[in-house]
Amino acid sequence: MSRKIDKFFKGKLGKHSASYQHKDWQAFEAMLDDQGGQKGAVWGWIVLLFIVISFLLFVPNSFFNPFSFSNNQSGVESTAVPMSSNEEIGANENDSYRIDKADISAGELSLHQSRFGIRNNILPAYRDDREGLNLYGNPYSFSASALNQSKSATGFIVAGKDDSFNSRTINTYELDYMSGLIKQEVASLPQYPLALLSSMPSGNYTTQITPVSSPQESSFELGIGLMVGNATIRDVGLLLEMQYSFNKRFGITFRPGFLYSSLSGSQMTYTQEVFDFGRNELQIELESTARFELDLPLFISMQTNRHQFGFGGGLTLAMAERWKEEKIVISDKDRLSGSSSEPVATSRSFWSETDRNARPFVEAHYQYYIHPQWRLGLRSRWALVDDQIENYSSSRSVHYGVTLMYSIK
Amino acid sequence: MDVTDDLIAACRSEDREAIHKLYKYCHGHLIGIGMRYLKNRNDAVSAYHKSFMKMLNGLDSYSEQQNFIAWAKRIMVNTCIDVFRKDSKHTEREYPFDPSDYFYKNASVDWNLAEMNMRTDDILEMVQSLPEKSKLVFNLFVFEDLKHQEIADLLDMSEGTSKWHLSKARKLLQQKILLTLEQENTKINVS
Repeated sequence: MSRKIDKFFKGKLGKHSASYQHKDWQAFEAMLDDQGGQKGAVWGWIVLLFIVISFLLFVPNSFFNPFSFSNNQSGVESTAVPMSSNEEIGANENDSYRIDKADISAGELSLHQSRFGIRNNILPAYRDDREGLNLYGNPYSFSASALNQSKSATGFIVAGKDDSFNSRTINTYELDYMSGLIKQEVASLPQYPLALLSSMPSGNYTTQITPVSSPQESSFELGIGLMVGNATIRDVGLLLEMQYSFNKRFGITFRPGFLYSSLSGSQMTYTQEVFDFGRNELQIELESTARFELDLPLFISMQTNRHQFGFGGGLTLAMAERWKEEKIVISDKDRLSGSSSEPVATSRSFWSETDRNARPFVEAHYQYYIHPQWRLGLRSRWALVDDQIENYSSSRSVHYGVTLMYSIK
Repeated sequence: MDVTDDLIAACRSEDREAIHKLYKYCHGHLIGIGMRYLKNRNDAVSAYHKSFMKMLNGLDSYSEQQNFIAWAKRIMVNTCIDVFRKDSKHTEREYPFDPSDYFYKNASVDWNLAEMNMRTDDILEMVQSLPEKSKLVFNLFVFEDLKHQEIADLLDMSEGTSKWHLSKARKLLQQKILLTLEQENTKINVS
């Protein structure tokens, strides 16, 4: 029967051809004209990219201040910090009893309460600002400060949708962390509660410079990454990074990643209603796939202060794949007792049946130093060949990912 | 019209008239193929345009010793497979069969009757209405004469899955033919 049916269809449709319509050619001509325009656009993008790269390479580091890498001092130094008097502290609700120095890395952990628009710090707050204008915000409050060497001015604006706002009382809980890439020096007097400050003697306090190694040196780094795939596939992965910096800007990075890719859901592939002596059956076949992969990318990376850009390529090795097919039968055969729905697993394939293969890809990433050791990044990977997972095609797909890297110095 | 070396050379030098000639030459063959693989004529024309663009961009790699139409056909089939891959993640098809399908389960087709009574457009529609994957496997197996292993490699599936899809396509097509012949027969009896 099979041969006959094949022969029948081949005979009928093998030489089948469609009639020519001039409007088809007109549509194609429009495509041809567009392609000419696109070539120009591609060159435009290349030129723009060249200009941007040139800009990033040749502008001075100071352009990106206040997150400059250029000063990398170390050592211990005493700095005299004048102590505010208790009267001054009481007179100013803001952070005037804090001494800041420019380009300081620090963090803030504080609990605030505001009443009638006046902010009280009820837990020790520690915050340093950097030279220039500093803006901080959270859903309940906003603060701005201007810093010039050792002089600072800070103001707070309190706003929010908290119910208690109507009674003019807001409890603001902040947990902020801010840091620079290089802790060049810390010369800050922590804020203390009034009670503690009042018990402290007046006079000068001494702080010291805290040396921090530069992230420009070659380093070995370990990180974890969460990959988010396209509409059909999601990836979760663990990344290991080895980075060697040639100089302050350029480096080479090898970042193997072990990824788990899975489908976000199953897919209805075939539905059939069967009439069987008064019974109706609806059959739905569902398929799902999961795969372990090893990504082996090599990047050229470029760093400008807190920003790191990387571009490279590599291979994805499919390590193991699981494919599962299920059939769900929805039947009204038990009509008297109500409809029934019974999932029946019809076949299953296991990890061992994986067709192992290697697929090349190119990848670009951007990372931002949120801390000298922590980087938050965006990653985009373009497959150069089909990376179809069983029946779910993601041909030449682009995978996007968010990465969080922690450096081991 | 034959595809001459001069025509190819003129197309390489982006002569619009030559491109039009080549477009017309391939049009019927390749859209015919596309209509078997895809859902309708519009999709087939769109796939043909993509293929023809690839052909124009790849004319430098085309050697005059090759059979041009075979080369073009291969590009068209690959484009159809690409279209299938792009669409497959959204695919959700339903095949509303008449409940009386059940009674045709064990019946056999009179191929001579089918040969005489069935129109090409109806047959094409039957192939077009197959589940996407089964349609692809059926086309590659029957019309491109590929073996299951080759189909499996091409579609990144197992050989067994390819066989299963072919079998499913044949069963569905047979059911449709039986149903059509039955309806024709009823019409004749009524009249």
